[in-house]
Amino acid sequence: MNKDELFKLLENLDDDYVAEAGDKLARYYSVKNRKRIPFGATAAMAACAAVFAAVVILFKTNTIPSLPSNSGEVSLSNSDVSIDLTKEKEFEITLNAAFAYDENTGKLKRYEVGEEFGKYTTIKSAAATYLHSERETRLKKQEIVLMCDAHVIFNDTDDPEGNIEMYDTLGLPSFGDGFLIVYDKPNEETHNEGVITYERSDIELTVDYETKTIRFSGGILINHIEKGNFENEN
Amino acid sequence: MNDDRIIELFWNRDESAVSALSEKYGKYLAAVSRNILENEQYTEDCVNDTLLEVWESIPPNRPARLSAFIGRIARNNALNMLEKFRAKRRGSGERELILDELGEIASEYSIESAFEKKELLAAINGFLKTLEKRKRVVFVLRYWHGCDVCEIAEVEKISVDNVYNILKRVRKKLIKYLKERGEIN
Repeated sequence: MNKDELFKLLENLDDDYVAEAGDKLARYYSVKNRKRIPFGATAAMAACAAVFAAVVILFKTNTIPSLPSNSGEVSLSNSDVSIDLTKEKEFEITLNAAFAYDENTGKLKRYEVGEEFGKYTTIKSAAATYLHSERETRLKKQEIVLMCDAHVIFNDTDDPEGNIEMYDTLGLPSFGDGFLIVYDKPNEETHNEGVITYERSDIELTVDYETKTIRFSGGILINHIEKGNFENEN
Repeated sequence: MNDDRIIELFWNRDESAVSALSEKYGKYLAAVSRNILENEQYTEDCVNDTLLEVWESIPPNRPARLSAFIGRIARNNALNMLEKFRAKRRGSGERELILDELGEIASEYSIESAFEKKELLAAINGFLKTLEKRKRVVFVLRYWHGCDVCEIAEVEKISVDNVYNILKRVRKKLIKYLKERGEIN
C-alpha cells in the first residue's frame, strides 16, 4: 500500500473523530483574528486605560526596581509617575517574568525568560499577573512554560522506584506555603505510569494564588515497558 | 448561529445558509483546503466549490456533525484539485511531509481488496478510540485535516516539540496495534 492510498483511506475516518478535531480547528480559526485584550478585562481596567499605559511604561523603563517585595505583596510607588496610584483603583498588570522565592535569600525573586528555574528547567515563557487593589499589589496568577533538560520524572506512587513528585524532582523554587500541587497528566495508560520529559520538551505550570493551586501539565506519558527505551529514543 | 439552524436554512433552500456557513466555517474550510493545496488561489476556488457542493448536498443529506460533513467535502475537493496540479505540487510542501510520515505505516501494508481496506479503516478507527482525546485530535488534525505541526501546536496550546513527540509515539503505537491484530504482517 502506498502512502497516498493510506491518506485517501483516512478520508473515511469516523465522523465523531473528524468532528472532534474539526470543531477545535474551526473554533481556533474563528477566534484567531479577533483582537486580543492584553490584560484581564474588568470594568475598572477599561476606565483606567491611561493608568495602564503609564504603568506599562513604568515597568518597561524599570522605574520600580523594588518590584516585587519579599512578601509577595508589592506596593507601587507613585513617586516616578504622574498618576496617583494610591487611590483605590483596581486593575491587573501582566509581566513576562516568573516570581518565586530564592532558596538562599528567602526573598521573592524575579526570573526572566531564558533564565534557569530549578535544577533542570529554563523559562521558555512566563506571564505573572499582579492585581492592584486597595493600594496594594499582589500576585494573582502565574503561567510559566518550562523547557526541560532530558530528564525522567515519575509520578506513579505505586512504583517504589518512581515515587518522586515532579515538583521536587525538577528542583523548582518555592512559590510559597500551603499550595496544593496538581498534575494534569494524560491518563491514557493506567498502571506503572510516569511522566517523561525529553530534551527541549515543555512543562506548563500554572500558579493560582487565589485557589492556592500549582498545576502541572505537559511532559509525555509513557508506560513502564517504554521507560527502558528512553535513552535510545533520544 | 448554531449548526442545526444553518442546516435548517439549507433545508429551507434559504440562500442565506451559504453566507451563514461561510461566516462560521469559512476559515475552517480554507484551512482544510490550504493544508492540501498550499496555494491561496486554489484554496479560494476549493472553498467556493465546497460551499456550492454543500448547497447541493443538503438536502437530501441532513448531517449529524456539520463540521465533519463539510470538512469531508472540502478535503475531497482539494484532493481532486490537487490531482490536476499534481506535477507542480509533487515533492515539496507540508503534504509531502505528511505523506512521508504515513509512509511509515503504509509501507507495512499490502492491500489487495476493498474489503481489506475496509478492515484496515475499521482497525484505525478502533485504535483512535483507545487514544486519549488530545492525542487523537493531534493525529486527526495532522492526517485528516492536513495541519502543519505549528498550527496543531496553536490549536492545542502545546509546544511544537510536544506535537512532534505525540505524532511519533502515536504512529508507533498504531503500527504496534495493527500488528497485534494481524492487520500487518
